[in-house]
Amino acid sequence: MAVTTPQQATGQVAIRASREPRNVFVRMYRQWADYAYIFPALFAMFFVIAYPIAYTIYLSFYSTPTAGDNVWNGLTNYTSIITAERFWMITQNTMYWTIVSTILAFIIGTGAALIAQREFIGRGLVRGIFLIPWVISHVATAYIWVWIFHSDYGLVSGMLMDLGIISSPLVILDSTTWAMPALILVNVWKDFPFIMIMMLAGLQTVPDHLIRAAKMDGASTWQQFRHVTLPHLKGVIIITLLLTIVMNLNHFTLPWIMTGGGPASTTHIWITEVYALAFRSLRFGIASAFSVVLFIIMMSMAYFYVKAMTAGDDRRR
Amino acid sequence: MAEVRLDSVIKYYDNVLAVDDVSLTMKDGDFVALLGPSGCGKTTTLNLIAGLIEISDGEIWIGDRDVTDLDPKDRDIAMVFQNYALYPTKTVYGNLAFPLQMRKASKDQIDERVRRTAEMLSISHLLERRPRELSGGQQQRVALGRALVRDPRVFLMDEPLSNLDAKLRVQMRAELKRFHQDLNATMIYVTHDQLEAMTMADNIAVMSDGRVQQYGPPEEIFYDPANLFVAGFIGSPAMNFLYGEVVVEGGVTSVKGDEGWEYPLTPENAQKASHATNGRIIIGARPANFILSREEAPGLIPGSIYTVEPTGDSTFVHITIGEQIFVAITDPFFRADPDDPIWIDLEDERIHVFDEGTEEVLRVDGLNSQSQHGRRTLQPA
Amino acid sequence: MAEELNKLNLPLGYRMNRRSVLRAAGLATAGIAGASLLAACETDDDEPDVGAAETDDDEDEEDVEEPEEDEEEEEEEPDDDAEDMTVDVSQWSPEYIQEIAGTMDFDTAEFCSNIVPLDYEGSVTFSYIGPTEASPQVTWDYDEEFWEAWNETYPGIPLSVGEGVQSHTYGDMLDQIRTAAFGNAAPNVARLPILWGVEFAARDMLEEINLADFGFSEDDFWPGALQSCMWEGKLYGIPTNNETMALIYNKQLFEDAGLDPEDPPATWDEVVEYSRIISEETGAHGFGMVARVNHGNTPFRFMPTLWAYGGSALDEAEDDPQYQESLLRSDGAKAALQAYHDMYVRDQSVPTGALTNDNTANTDLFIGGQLGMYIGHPAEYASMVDRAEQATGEEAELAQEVVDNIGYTLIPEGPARRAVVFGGSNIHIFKEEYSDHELDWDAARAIIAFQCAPEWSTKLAWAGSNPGHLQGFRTHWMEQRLEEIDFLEVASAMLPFGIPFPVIPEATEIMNITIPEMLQNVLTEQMSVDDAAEQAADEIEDIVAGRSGY
Repeated sequence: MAVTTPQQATGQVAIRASREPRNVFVRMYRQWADYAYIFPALFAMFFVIAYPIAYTIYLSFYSTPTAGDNVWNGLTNYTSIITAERFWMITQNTMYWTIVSTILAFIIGTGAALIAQREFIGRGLVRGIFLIPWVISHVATAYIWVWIFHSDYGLVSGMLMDLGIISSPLVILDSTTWAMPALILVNVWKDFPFIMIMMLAGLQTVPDHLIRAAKMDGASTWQQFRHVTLPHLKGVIIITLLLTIVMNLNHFTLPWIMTGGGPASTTHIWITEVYALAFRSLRFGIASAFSVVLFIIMMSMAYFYVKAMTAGDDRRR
Repeated sequence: MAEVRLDSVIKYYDNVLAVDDVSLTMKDGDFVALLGPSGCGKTTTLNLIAGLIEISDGEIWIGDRDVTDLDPKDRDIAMVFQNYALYPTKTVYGNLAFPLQMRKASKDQIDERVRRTAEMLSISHLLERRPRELSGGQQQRVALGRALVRDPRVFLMDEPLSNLDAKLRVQMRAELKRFHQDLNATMIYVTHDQLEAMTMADNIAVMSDGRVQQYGPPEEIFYDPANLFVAGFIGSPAMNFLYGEVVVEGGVTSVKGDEGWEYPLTPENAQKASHATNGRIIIGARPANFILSREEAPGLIPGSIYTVEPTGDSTFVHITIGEQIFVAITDPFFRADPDDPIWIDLEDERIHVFDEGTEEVLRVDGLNSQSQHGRRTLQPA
Repeated sequence: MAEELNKLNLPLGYRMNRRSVLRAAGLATAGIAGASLLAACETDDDEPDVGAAETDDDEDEEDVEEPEEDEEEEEEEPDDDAEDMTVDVSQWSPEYIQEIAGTMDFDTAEFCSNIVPLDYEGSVTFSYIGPTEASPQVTWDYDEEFWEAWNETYPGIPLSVGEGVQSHTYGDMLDQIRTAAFGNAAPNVARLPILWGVEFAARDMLEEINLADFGFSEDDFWPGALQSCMWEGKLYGIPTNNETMALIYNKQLFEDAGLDPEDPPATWDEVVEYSRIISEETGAHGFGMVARVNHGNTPFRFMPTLWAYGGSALDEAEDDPQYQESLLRSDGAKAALQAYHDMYVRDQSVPTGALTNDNTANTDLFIGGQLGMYIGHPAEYASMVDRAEQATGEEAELAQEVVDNIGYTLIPEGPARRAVVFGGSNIHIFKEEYSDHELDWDAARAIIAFQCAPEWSTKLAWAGSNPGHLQGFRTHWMEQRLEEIDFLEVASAMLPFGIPFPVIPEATEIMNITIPEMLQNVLTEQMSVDDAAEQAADEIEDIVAGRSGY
């Protein structure tokens, strides 16, 4: 702001005012048509998103006996959750489930994408095969894998026994040690095609001339991937990881159907626990508080994650 | 620095023949332009030299090494791409350093080379920026710098100036030429712009249909085209072609045009025409070699004015002969009205005689030393 | 989905299941067709889901509650004159059931005319769980016949599915009724699986019921059934049907194990023993244990054992339950847990998959000849017979052989008692303020009296349950039923031993979560029997006292 004559200043203000009135209502009035167009969507969103969230937060401060009215109990729901050993056990399960599933699915999905991207005979077939787990519904997947892993008549145990490798069936889903790894395996099997597709889409946008430039510059295949492909895929990777993490954090079907959270709660994760609290135990107050805690955890994770991944990008703009 | 030699190089894309038996020797320190219209195989040839695509048959030598089966990184060559292909996530410094890092140079060495190169290209102040923050010309310099920085034996350039605006192109053209002279490196330069080729190259290989039509210094390409294609491709406005039959009447050889005119040939040209395989020839005459006359005279070709375009330092005259339109360049003050009759004489020592059947140039002794059909390695004449 | 896959594949034990898996996988991988079929299955139980996933295991019960019908009857009202048609519960036995069947004629229209005149004109809305694709034809036929008979009897109160009548599926009904009630759009009258009503009673959404207004008396129903309609000492519903389970066993396996196939285990201690013997001698599993969490099958299988040994979740097995103190700390409860521990951990005589199995898995193992005995429902028995008929080739032979060798008997007793979970359905009236339809008391009384009287109480319970009205057992329809359906008299004979789950809204949580988790803690040896029982007892007492935090 150098020296400005009063006239100039006035002029600027006048211009700004005419373009963008400070009062939001004036702006809305002037652009009423824009707001009218988005109103139906906003209206619907209010009822299906804003209202439920608000109501969940409201309920989280109440105890909600089946008989009788809701009773305000302040932060009691929250303190009882945070201080419960069970909450931390389930949090640990959830982290284990989410992190291992995401990392494995990401590695395998990316590898599959790199394979599926290459030109070779039968590529279409291979791509098709990779996609199979993805097109099977989660519920069907869960039941199929229960059969495969079943401790008494499972496919895996049966085949290994037929081959004489083991003499009694493997205990997988009924084992406190192996149930979670088995669920993760199924989850990875189910999810890697999604990551493959995302990465494949990304890979196809990697400019060919950059790869050629890197070849000329003496980069090995790995170095080409590391210096050209990977940086180019950064956006896709962030989105894919974020989606996968959220998907896994909210994954309900596999644990619920395959183990119901057992044995001894070793496969209970946040979302199954919240569901059980709300719709099995009808403890809506506690379940709401639990949801709010999860909401806060997930939002802050997403915030820091996105921030970390996009650090340094600002300068470029 | 090294010589680059292509020996009977063939490249098929599936069943399409993209490079058809190309043999070329680019001398050490030469600036060679591969010139031709789109799809002529020049970029494919360059990529074959780079090793970016696989050769179908033939050999490529760089210096005394057979690099036919080597990876690009082992050929000790650098390439500048048409769209620069700068790494968008790296800074200018990172882009310049990359080829050195890939070759495991020491940090100090890298720093020293990068800064020296940047200085040479006057981009030292841009080192911390990223490609998207640079102008087109600056990106071009960085791309060049990335090729220069590791001092390769051969530079390959794939239409490096085509993304620049006209003014910048002229400037960069001069700079490139100067770099070549300073570095004295072997450069192979692909372009479809004959002006670039003519101004910068020591030797030009004119390509069409996957073949080298002619290989030689710019003057030779211009003044002594080996065939109808080269003659027509080089020069602006393009060379005029007059089709006719060779007639000998009373010891005088002349050519009888399809439009009815008759033009007597000098003995030398008559000699050339005598080699025509089916008695028909094409006379090639550049617009500047047309001499216009408003008076009818024997031995002149009659035509009529189609239109006149003054350009300032000369005038383009479009002339209708029969059904065809030809272009002549004449003095700046020539004026005429459409449909005015006009008579044309040719500068006989500057015209070219082509065999209508083979479209090859006809020489006095009947041989075309530059025939592209020969299986010999082409050396610039 | 489970249902679909089962139907698709008819798993018969281990070998067959492997093939089935391959078949299912093949189908899925066959691509769109398979995928979309499976996807279609999924949508069904996806959401309400959770419930559905388990609920659907077709057969049996589900959540704590249990849909179906019931049992006995008693005498008939001495309304008219007639002789004493009372049913003597103290004489209850398979023989007694056979003896009294067909000893009474009953005229529903005449009975109803004493309550609401047949020419009464009015209207009422009604919700129930109607027949589904999985229901046997006979269920469909009786359902259709019921509405025809109703419209003939009360032409002034026309009702049919879609017009005043809403037919729900088991998986969806609770959520739908709950939502409707909260939105003041509940039906006037709803027939709900036992114990679902208590939640609405606790919320003061139901009308109190006086049996005499409907032409009934307390003697017409099992005391346990009426108890399941009570909240804070008042009656809020009328039993429509009641049911229990029995012990199903494989005679061939008993014989192979050197046991007398005609002498099934009479006590739970014997079950533990026989289970071990069968498993040691034949390699098959002895007893079909179910210990999955969040699953209705589990309490239905475990509570009979717990009660038999003298334990209970609260005090539901006692004479005058107060539902405040947990008897899981009792020696009996610990003995029951120890029995389960002995079978699963010590003897390994039960399916290892018990922690994840629902009862469908036991049915599969049983029909595959891989399971010695388990607690089964008449509907499970029926489904095994169906599957044996539908199976092909080698599997069919095996299945038929098993079906031919099915034995059934009373659920064993323990040191304290013989016990079984008392299931069924009750009919309720929603208060007008929670309904979007004016409450026409006479119309509501008419439909309830018509449905709960012996005739329809029997016919609507035909395939898998028993009439809620005890005099249903005296009708000739019951006689016909006993001829048509094996196993029925044994399951019916268990009715006097039926104990309802605690009639409190928290029962679902206690039965589907706390009890199974206690079991899993013991079976995975995460906790000792004592610790697991004590912890569960504390939790349950906290839950009912409303002081449970998280």
